[in-house]
Amino acid sequence: MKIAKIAVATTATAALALGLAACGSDDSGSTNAPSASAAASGPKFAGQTLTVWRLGAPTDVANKYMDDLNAKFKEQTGADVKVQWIPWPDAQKKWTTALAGGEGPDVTEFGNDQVAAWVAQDALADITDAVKSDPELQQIPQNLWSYETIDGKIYAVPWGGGTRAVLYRKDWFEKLGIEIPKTWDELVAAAKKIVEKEGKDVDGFAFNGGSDANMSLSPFVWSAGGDFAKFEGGKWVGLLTQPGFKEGFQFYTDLVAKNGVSGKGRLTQNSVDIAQRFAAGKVGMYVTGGWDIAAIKEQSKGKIDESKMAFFSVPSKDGSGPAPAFQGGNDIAVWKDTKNPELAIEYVKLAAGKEFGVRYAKEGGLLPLYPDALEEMGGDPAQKPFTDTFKVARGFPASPNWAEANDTKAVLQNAAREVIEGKKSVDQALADANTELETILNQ
Amino acid sequence: MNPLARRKLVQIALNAAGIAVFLFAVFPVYWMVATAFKPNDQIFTTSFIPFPSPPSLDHVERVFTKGVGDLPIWQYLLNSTIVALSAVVLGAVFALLAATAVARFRFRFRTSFLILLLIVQMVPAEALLIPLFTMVKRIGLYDQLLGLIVINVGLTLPFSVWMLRTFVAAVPKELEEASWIDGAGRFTTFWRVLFPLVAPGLVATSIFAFITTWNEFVFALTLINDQGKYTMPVALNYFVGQRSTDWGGIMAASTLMTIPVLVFFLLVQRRMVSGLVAGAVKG
Amino acid sequence: MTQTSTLARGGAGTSAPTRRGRTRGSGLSPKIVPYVLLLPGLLVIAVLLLYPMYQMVEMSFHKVGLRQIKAINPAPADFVGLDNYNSVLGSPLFWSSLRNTVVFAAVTVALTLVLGTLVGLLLNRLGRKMSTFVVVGIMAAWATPPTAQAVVWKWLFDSDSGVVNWLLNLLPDGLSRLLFGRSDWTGQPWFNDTYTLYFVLIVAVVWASFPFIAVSVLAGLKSIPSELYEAAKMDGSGAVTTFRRITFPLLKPVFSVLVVLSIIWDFKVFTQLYLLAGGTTNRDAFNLSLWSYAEAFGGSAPKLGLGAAIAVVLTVILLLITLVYVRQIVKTEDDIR
Repeated sequence: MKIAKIAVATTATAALALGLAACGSDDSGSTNAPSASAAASGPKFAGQTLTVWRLGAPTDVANKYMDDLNAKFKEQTGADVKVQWIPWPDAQKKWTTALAGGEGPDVTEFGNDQVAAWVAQDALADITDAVKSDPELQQIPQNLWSYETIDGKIYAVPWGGGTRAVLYRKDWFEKLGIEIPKTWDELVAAAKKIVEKEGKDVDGFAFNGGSDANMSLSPFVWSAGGDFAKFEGGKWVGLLTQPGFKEGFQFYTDLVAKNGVSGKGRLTQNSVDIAQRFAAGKVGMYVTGGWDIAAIKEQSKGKIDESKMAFFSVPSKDGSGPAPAFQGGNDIAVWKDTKNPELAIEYVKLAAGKEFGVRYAKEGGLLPLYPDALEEMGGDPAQKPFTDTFKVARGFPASPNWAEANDTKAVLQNAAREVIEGKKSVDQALADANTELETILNQ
Repeated sequence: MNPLARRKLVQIALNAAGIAVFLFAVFPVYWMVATAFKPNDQIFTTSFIPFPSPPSLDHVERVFTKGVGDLPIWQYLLNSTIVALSAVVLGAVFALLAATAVARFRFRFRTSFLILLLIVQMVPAEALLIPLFTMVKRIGLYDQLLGLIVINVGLTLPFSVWMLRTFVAAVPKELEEASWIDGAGRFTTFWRVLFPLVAPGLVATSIFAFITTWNEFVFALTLINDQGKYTMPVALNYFVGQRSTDWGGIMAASTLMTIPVLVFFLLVQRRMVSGLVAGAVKG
Repeated sequence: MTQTSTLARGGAGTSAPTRRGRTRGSGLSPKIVPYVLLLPGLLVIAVLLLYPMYQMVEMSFHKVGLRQIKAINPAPADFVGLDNYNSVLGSPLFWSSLRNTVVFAAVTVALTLVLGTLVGLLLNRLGRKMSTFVVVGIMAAWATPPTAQAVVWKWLFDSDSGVVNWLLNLLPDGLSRLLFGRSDWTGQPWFNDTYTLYFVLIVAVVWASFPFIAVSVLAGLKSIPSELYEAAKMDGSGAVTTFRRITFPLLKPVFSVLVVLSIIWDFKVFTQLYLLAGGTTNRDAFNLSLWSYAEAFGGSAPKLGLGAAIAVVLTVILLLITLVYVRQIVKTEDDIR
């Protein structure tokens, strides 16, 4: 086993040296004329094996996708691929030990908001040149590379995008004669009506105060012209006390505190918990991603299906169009400790290239990143709220420490709870949260 | 009230208490099993549903036919069994030797050794993770069930030694001496005199070691790389997705995971009683 | 206590078997025998746990991130002296977490031991079939995987679909009002408030750990020669007296072990709290373990030095709490001998 590995590594190095000259030319060839490139680079990596980490549990669809992708990869490069599935909750620990043990993947899937943190740990390889010279990857709009670009260098390739919108009970809206809200006031009015007619234990618009609360809070904040933090003069400056942020935050906490459209007993629920209550018919609206339609249909055993739920974009305060929402998604990256960087880059290019990139997104319930594929998807009315929102989507502060503020220390969730429970005024809570946020981001 | 009637009454009261304890202990377990048989809309409900009605085999069937993370569930159960049984046997031998040393001999560092064992228990596993990982890697036990077995021996040893020590100390010295006088050797004395008397303690520590090892998660996750060597607790996380969790599947697999522990318990618990009998005869 | 010295505690010193051992020519000096016996266990612990523990302590004086522990091209770790400790002890969360930890451990350990002992005694008195029946039941509770445990308890205490609120609603209104000052439990949230959250946690942890105590106590009882009880009976002592004068002194060493270990384990409760509290979003509910996780291991940029410092502090607190007691245990035994 060990010997085999060393042998692989040695041949790889040799191949690397020999093949370097050919590299530039077969980049373009590999995408446009696969058969030709197979002939060109096929033997180069023959007999080698690449380890790829995917996150989650393999499904039939995902297995088929990986099989097709790997078959194509073998055809192009002659190399085999070993896929390893890492359960989502364990990904952090596995990457950590991969670093500590020096035996990790060659290529790995990533949540895009995690890239900055792992680059800071020196875990991902700089692939700027390969990305810039690949005409296909260059078709991915530049505004979608913000998470992947750190200090001007690119460390990952966006694989599939996601954004959030409001999932609502279509049948209730029809029954109660509610129009799709275009402003914040209309949103609250609709939520109140649902609580009034469907029962006090129903959340008209469910408050998310759990791990992914900021995905739900941010559209309101951004729509009011606020933001979380900005990088200025070499350090992060918190913006939580600015009027825009305060207005969005106030609206968000008022959903529970003043308007009572979400139960006080559920202040720490996240979107997964809310989805479960939605499936039980206890939620009228909440902010989530497109994947929840399938999950809810499954959890309610089909009682709540596509005919009873749909999405609309989070409205802006004054009705001027969709509010910006979080731009999420998954990436694919080259692990820095890989023994075969050249082959790993080839894999990333193929997987995130147009054919397999679009397939990955569509089959995984995400949004494709290639503009024409996204446009095509927008033709589907069910997807339109997402494709519309995705055009104005934004990111959270691209700091390696954002994850800590976002859900580990849960700065804003705690602030919101203190306000709702009447322990602090909005101003006080936000001032405290701002200090804490700055401490975390600047450590 | 005559004594006979009183005794009967006491017995009834005791049995009633036994049933109460049983119900308290079993109810949440029942809930786990019931959930495994509930169709999804009965799991994700906001009303109280005591029985799955009608029971659904969805989750159980899925766990069996589709496996977990694309491998059959037996694979993980087998790995878990190998690790747990080996850790129990190895741990019992090591602990019995160490317990005899601290209970029967006075030597330097005896107290220090006992306290050291406790400190080992006090340190949070998360904090030890990285140094332990590099250590396991260095001695070549990474990605091997053997590494996991040894770690679990280390994790359960402190309790086993402390517990067995009291049992060994409780064995009357005179018994051993009698055996010596009869001309029995060290090993025979150990086997025929000491062992039966400490058997109940050995059973209790074995059960403890088995369950601890069976449910151990952090090290099983990080010290094993190959999915084919994953243990059950690690495999369970395949049910947790990026955005939703398959609770029906988790409950079905958890139920399945509880059964081997009960089987192991039923196998060893007789020893607890027979240990007493043997001891009484010798006494 | 008098019985203790005269009874099966036996073990009159160490001399007899050892001396004979030498005459029998096993070739081992009695001085070495205990070390030989300790060797296998000590080896495992020393290699796998002690050395990593030493490294952990060393980490606590450095600023260590993933960059520093990388196998390939690691960055050197900066020595920061007591900085990590200062930020642990200086955090306001430290004191609230410590309070939660200590109160929780005190209540839980007491409840677990009392319930466990009572059940152990009960099991010893029950008929064989009934005893096996009950013991299998409590084993099932013990054997339930921690994740499943926490989730099931979360469901049982769910504000809408939970059994607990349903049962409380079944109570006659008058009684419920008398006991709790309210009669309507519909939608009562259990997991918002730190007090009620910890109440559920205590129930869940006691439920999961009393079987261990019960089985250990039962094992202890099984090793007590029945002649003692017969003698006590002939003396005409009642159940309480028998427990106080025979059972308890004989089980005392077992109890001591159980107390110490229960304290240690309940101090470190993590999985159940993490799941019941819904992750790290409610920091009022932190105990030391959950806090150290949030502080050091939760983010994607783990602060291993800080995490190590918290672990060291936790260990020291535990040591202080248990050391006096442990020394006493070891000492009294030596005196008896």
